[in-house]
Amino acid sequence: MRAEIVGVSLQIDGVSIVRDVSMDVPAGTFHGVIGPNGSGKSTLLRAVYRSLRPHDGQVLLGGDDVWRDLSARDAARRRAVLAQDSSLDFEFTVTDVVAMGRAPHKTLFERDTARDRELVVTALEHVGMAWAGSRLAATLSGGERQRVFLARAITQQAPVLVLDEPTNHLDVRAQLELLRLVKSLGLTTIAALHDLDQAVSMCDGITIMREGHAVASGAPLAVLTPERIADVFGVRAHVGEHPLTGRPHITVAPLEPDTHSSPKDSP
Amino acid sequence: MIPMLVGTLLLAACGDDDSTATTAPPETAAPETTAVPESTAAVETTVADTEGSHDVAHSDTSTEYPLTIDNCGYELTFEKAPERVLIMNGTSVAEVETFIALGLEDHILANSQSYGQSDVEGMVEKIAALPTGDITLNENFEVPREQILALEPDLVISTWSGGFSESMGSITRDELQSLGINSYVTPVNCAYGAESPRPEDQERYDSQTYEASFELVEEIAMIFDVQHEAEHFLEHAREDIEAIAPASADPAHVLVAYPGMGVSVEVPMVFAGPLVDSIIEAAGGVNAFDGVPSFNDGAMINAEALAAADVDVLMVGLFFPGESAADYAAQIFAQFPQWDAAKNNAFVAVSDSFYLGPYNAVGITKIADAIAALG
Amino acid sequence: MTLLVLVLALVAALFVGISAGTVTVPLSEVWTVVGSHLDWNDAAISPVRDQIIWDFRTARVLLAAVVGAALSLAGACLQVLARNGLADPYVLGVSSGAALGAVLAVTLGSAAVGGFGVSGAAFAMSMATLVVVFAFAQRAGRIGPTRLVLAGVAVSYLATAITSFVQLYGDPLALRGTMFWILGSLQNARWGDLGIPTLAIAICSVWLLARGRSMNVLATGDDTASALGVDVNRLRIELLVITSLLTATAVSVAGGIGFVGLMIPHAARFVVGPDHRRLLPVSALVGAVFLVLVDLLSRVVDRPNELPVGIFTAAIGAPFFLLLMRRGGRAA
Repeated sequence: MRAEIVGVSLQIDGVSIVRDVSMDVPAGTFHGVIGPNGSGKSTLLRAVYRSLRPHDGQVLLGGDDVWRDLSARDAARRRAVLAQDSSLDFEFTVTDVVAMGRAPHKTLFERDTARDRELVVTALEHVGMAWAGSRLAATLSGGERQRVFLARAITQQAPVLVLDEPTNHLDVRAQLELLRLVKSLGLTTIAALHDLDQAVSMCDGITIMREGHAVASGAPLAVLTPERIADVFGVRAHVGEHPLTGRPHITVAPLEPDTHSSPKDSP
Repeated sequence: MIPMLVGTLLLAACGDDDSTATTAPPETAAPETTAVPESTAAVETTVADTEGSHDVAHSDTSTEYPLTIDNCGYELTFEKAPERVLIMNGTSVAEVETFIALGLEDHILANSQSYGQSDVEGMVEKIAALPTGDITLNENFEVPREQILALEPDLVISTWSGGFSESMGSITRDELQSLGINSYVTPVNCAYGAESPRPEDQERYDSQTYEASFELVEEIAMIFDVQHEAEHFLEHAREDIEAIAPASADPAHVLVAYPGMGVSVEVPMVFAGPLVDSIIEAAGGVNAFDGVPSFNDGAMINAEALAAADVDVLMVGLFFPGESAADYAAQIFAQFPQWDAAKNNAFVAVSDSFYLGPYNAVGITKIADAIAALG
Repeated sequence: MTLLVLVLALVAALFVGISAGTVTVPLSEVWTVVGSHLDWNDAAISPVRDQIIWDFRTARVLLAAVVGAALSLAGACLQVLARNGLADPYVLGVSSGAALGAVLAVTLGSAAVGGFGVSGAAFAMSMATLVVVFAFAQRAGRIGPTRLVLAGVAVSYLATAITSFVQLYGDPLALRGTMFWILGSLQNARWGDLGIPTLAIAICSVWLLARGRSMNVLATGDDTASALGVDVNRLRIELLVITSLLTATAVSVAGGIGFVGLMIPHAARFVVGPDHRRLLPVSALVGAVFLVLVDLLSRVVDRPNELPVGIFTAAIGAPFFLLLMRRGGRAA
């Protein structure tokens, strides 16, 4: 399913956070949104998962406006979300958590069916967490927890997946495993990412954001030039080929001290 | 904590009576008041053989100063009758009414006692007319210690030992003594609010009757050298009580209900305890909740128990200014039509004469009249 | 299974509650009286026994069950709404708001509080208190759990302070009986008090059961809930209205009874876990059983005196709760 963001602007308490951002994500592709902290990537994604209503512009899933044409429930059947972390104040088991993915498919008094339970088991198996079904979700490690949340997204059976910096608190191996799992689903994916190297190696398309604006949008290697990386992120970057995988690869180093204070002036 | 809250609320009401009483129209409770001490009952009764016994007390009693008395284990010495008296505690009227009964108003420097209604004609107004010393009561409805000292009293009176407790924000008796100020606690209440009451004080408190009211009158009279007035006053009071016909073999059951203190009018606060019971007994009746254990003073009685109670006379305790006993009685009777009291519409209104204080004889007479009216 | 056991427990509690009381009446007679009202028999019964058993005791026991269930449900909802286990009608100031409403109504006259009666004013003020608390607790459309409890405690203190002030300076004659709103009590229960709370709890229960799944999702976070197709703002407002309705109707017939709304949902969670589709009915039943039994104690421990029910809700509930917390398989 195709996902489009058309001229979206977002405000929080009257403060403009995102201004006129657009992107077009063809069905089945993986689109990265990158930018420094505070550039508005996570806020932009809130518009996609119906947590923050755009001040202006549209979010279209399969051609329908998420806010105007679809109910919260309908929208949730078209896109699932994997966020940084979820509240676990209440002690739900892993199975409870994953089963919540069925919520948008249920009517008010409908009970869980055998098929729902089967979907939960399959999803847990897919992410390698079948062993943990009766564990309390709160007792899992960060990486395990994110895999459980991914399983929840899988049971949601939505063609579009939104990732909001899902690897933030994970160790290197857990990061790679989670992203590999996501890729294996083959869904239309919009992901806010932190790591430039992850972005360039995973994405089919990339949008770079700074201070609420989309600075550039396009194919990874076309967008992530060393000059633009220096401009937006304030680091020196080398774009090359990964010696182990052969995929595009970015390594970074600090800018020279004299240019550090005013990165925007550098070429 | 919860009894505290209840207490505080009741106190709140009492503490406010002062202002409300002065603004309330003077006809409040007028129908229920009785002229005292010359009640008609006392005048009409022949009291030939009782007079003889009182004549013995008509001795030539006057106080010789310096006077030393024991008060809750404190030795008090009076060089002369005190002239600047501070009467504490908005929750009692026993002490201030004793002063008024003995004509000692001029000795009062400041009074913080009041009650919204009285069975004695003009009493609410007389109390309201006393100087207040511009006292602001603290959150415990006690006189704060700075204000006590600023008034420079020569005698401070509290109805209970707790009135001199530091935790109530008041000043202790030791501190007062060191400043040369006498302090006095109503003797029957020595154990009440005391940190470690003497056994004899506890015993006295637990078994109090209306005689404790009379003892207070006698002792205050001694301190102020007005013993003749006290004898005269008490003689009439006792005559009134003795004039009452003795209780029958099956005495009338009296329910003492304070609707204004209850959760609702229909579920009023019910009173029992040695003092209350002695007043009802003297009137020839018996408390409908006589002999209930752990029941001293006011209590919330379960509606079932009220429904099952044997009630011949409803004693409506008036508490706030402007309360109507007839309205209360009608509401309670509608709730419990099975009572004989409801069938006969037998109720009597009593207010301050039902507590510790000089006018218990008035209350006793009123209840006795209501019982007599049953026929 | 759990539900069946709890329903039987409630039936047993109602049975014991109606059988025992301040005035001892033989068991057979008790049920003859009840039966005559349910058209099981047409035995002649004495009016006094009828009043004791039917008017006072049966109405009171049923009201205890309804109020216990309502407060527990309200507590369970607030804990999700606030995503904070400390939330309950008391902590969030609903009860103090109700007391203030009642006191204002009796002192200023009902016209001053919008023409409501005393119960109506208690109801309206408790609702208003909750709205104010939530308004202060939210920022950028999200409710901070800590901020919510802080706002609740602050508003609660404010309402209590105003109540005390009004009580000190208001007309004492008008204020008689207002401590009922603060202390809470079931001793005023009459049949006429049962209708509205029963209706309210019936409607709210059905509504809540339909939202059990959404409440589970909301418990895991606003963003997750949005992602899973829950209209978070609407659900919040609905829960807020339901909670206010439950609490305010309970308070308007029984005053501010504490502890039940806080502890019962936790106790229920220890037993059946956090899934609201099970938690809500279990909380309601446990709350009903609990308050019926606690009220029974307040009636019979010191006969014929009434003891404040709040003493027993805490004295019985707290140790039981601590025990559950210690033994609970699901770590708290």
